[in-house]
Amino acid sequence: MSSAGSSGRKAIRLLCWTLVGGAALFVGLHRFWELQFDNFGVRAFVAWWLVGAIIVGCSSGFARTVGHLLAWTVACVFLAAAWGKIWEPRQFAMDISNYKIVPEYYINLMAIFLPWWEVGAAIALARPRSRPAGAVLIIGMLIMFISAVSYAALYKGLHISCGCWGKAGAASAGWKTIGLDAGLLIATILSLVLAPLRRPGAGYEVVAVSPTPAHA
Amino acid sequence: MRSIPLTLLCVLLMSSAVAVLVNKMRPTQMAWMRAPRPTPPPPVPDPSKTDPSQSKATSQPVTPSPTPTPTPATPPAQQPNSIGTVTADVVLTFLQDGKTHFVDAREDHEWVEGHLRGAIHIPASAIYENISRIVQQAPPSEKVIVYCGGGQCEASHHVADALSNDFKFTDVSIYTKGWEEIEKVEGFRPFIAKGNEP
Repeated sequence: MSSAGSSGRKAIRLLCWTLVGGAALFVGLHRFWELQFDNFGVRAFVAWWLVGAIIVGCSSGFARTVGHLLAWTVACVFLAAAWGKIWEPRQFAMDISNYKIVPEYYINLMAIFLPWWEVGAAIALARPRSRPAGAVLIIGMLIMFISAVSYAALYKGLHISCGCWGKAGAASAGWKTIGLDAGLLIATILSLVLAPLRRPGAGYEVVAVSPTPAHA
Repeated sequence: MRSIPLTLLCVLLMSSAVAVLVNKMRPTQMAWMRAPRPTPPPPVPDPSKTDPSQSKATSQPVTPSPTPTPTPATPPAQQPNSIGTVTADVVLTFLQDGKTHFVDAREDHEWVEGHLRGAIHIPASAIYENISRIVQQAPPSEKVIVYCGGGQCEASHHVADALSNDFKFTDVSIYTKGWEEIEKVEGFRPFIAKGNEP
């Protein structure tokens, strides 16, 4: 009973910290990275995160819980970011063209496909069994975003919208964008480290040991 | 799915298939390939003015537009969906005329600092959200001049492209020197508004 009680208290404590962390995350995204919440996709992101956080936060095992939460958070951020771009791809195409990196001929292709790759990668990351593949995709995209923002905004000095949230928010490209992407990159890597995929058959097996027969 | 490359390929293929399907189902399907933006024709100066320097400010000279000798008084190309460029004296003429719609393509904080009186604010970062501001006011046949910060600013080009290609405005021009020149030219002073003043 006492071990069950302490497990329960631990889970509740973990859940409270999860919700506090989530609130801090949303406030930070709004205040610092200009994510607007007057948008269906973004509100859905908050709801998805809350549901997932409550389910995950109730489990025991601190490191695995944090790993699952990090993966879930990164997945939700990517889903929220993809929503605005899917809703209005023409605006996203203009944001891509502002970077002056992608040849103009291929801008529309990128505006059509990239948001859906973000959705696919987010779903793959959220599912533990496909998390490594999802993480590879997300890490690749984040490295691409960081490189693009560094080149266009920092090296060339262009004052452009980052295109991160599509129509859900017009954050400008710069150090803040790089910081957010770097944070997401670290969170993705940590989610792989803290909550690795358990291979079937791995772990301890409880073997029943019969008492040795009394010698006659 | 235990193999990472296989899972990766499946995710990309499925996402791409959904992307193709969704784009095909859109009412305004987006073209797969984007045609390069055509080079705009040289700006047409105001045909009524013989000496372009008369309307310029005396305090700070405005660098002349690097174009060849202007052609005789011909209006900008009237082909459907073509976008021309205009100079400061042409803009001043249209401002005094009062019949042209001006669109400010800069961001909110730049608009608040100052904008042309009567201009419609369509920030380039949220064109399709705010396009109704001009679509409801002006039929596509009326003249529209779009400006932004000037210099390297591409915002006016994006808004002009959207007006011309997506909403079929037939007489769209870009004032390429934009706000950078508006602030310097004395003739624009009476036409500048600040804050949220229309």
